[in-house]
Amino acid sequence: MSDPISRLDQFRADTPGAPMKSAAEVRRRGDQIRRRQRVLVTAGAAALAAVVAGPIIFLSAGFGERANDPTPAPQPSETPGTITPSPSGSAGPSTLTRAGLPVAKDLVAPLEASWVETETYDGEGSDAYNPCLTTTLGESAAEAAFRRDFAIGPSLNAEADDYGMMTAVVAEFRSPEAAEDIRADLSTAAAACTPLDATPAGSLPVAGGVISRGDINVVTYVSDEPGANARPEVATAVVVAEDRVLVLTRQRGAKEQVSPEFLQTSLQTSAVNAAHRMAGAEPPAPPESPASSGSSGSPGSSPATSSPGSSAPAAILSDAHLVAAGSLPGLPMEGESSAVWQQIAPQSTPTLYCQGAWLSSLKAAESVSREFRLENGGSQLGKVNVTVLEFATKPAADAAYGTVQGWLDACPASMHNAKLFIARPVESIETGTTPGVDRAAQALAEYAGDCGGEDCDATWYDHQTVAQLGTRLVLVTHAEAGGPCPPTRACPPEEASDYIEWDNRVAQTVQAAVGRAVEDLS
Amino acid sequence: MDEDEFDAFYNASFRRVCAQVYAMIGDSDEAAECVQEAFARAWAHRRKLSSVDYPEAWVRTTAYRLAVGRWRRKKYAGRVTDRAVGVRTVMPAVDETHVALVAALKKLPEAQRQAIVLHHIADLPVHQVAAEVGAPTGTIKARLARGRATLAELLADEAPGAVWKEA
Repeated sequence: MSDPISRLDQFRADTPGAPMKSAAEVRRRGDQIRRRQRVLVTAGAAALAAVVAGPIIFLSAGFGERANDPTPAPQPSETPGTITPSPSGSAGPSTLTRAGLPVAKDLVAPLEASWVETETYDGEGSDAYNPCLTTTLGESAAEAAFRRDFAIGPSLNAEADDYGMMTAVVAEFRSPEAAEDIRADLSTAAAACTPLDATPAGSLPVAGGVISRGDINVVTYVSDEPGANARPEVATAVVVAEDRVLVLTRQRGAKEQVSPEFLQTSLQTSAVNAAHRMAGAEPPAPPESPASSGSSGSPGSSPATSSPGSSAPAAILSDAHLVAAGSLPGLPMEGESSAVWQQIAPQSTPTLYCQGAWLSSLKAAESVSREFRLENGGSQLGKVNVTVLEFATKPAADAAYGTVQGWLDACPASMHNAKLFIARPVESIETGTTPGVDRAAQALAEYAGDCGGEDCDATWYDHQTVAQLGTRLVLVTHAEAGGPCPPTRACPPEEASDYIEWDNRVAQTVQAAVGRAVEDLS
Repeated sequence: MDEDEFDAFYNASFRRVCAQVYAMIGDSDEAAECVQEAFARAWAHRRKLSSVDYPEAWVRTTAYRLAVGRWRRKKYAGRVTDRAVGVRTVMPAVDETHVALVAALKKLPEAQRQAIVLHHIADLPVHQVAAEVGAPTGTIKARLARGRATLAELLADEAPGAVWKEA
């Protein structure tokens, strides 16, 4: 019997028996799915509210141990304008006042935005201003403490969530040694950030002028917010000047528009300015309101280089080292071929999905980056991220290449919040550029696409490449969305040839991006 | 949709949808697991499902997408797929003629296979097949004609008693 219709009819009539679970079991599984979705939505809403409404939300949302700290905040009437008495304080009255707090102009804001003061407290306030710190400065025997909260002001180009919120706390201790001890403890706590089970994302020194010692620790953590692409971040600057300690905290939401490199260096400059204000000294120079970085900048630069009047060496890298949208390959799939690549504003998502830390941790002398998206009918189909790094020495570039290759190999993906399905092994590749590169490696990562919290099979396929020529590194991601199949013509792809076009597109992006980045080295 | 309605829907549709998904993907174990998971998702989204014209089509489509997604991850990523429902069920032996039919179906291009299964096994009229796969009815008719012709050739070539093996 080879008549297909009768065979199909017979198949339908026989309906091969499959063992069934009971309907009750299936409903239980459905309830399980539903409960999980509710938890995600609730937690996500809380996280968003915390970012928008300010630190007070952390108290009621239960973030960290500090959220349960019953220590009452001193009321303004108890400590009018100056001192918070400490039970263990043995030195004379503190001379620290609210004037030791930074003001909005001390803090650097990107784009055309500016920070605005939202609230000032005598004492540390009753809520946890930093979810990573588990003890208050009062518990650490501060003689006096003051706090000021900031939010981002109106901007034509930015949403409040892009920059999050900033909180400054200044405290005075009985001696410089005591202050230094507290600084060390706070810095360690900020770097580990155990209450959030966070991942370190980098650290920067804070130095200069009246500052005895200081650093910034940046951590990221997993957000429960459904559909979040990037991990929320807590950046904590802890700086000591004589017997006073500054804790400057910036918390950001999951989706931002400004480059992480710029945000880190801007916090560095802000901390220097705030520390000088705390010490009653003149800040080194009023901060500029620079244009959005990410297309250029020096991730490892000191605050002094952000100030006007400083003489920085002539830049080697510029936008000329970055590939243009027209050089990127189109997608040949049906219904997608008319979509074109668009250069977008710098994002604070990592250049490579597998990155283990922000690129500033590589301590390049210069960095430029550019990002592109390809959309069709509101759906994102492609992403290309390119960063070019120039190092001061060949050994420094070699070390950075090793670090990036290690990220591709282990794929910690600690800068990303989307679920990793698999990271393929790192492979050496040829880039086909002129001049040729010293070495290049590539790895593919697959991770869950964002379906707005709904269940779906959308998947990102990120080909991540690192290439080195002398003191220059080029990092490139060519990402395409798939689901339920990879970005191939056939679904499911059944032949090796199904993958050839995809491979060619990746190679074209890499050649264009790397070629442009090393063109001046020929 | 309350519990009784869902139970009735599940009991009436499960085996039928399983057979259809099996015909589409060629793996009966995988089909059963994906259909089970699709029904669980249907219960989780029962409010939305109440407004759907053809709940069985919703379950079938969900199960098919789950199956293709699992196939892709397993095949391309070279790892064991997640088992959302639980331990792998042991399926009864499948009729050999059906195995051969499913093997032949598996050789068809996906779009033709989907049209054939929905029209001839799920017994949907052409316009409903068109609605389910999001293609014009003329396209579905063409896919059916080409699919049937290819299937006839494949079944004619089959050796009597041939047993399908996974590619």
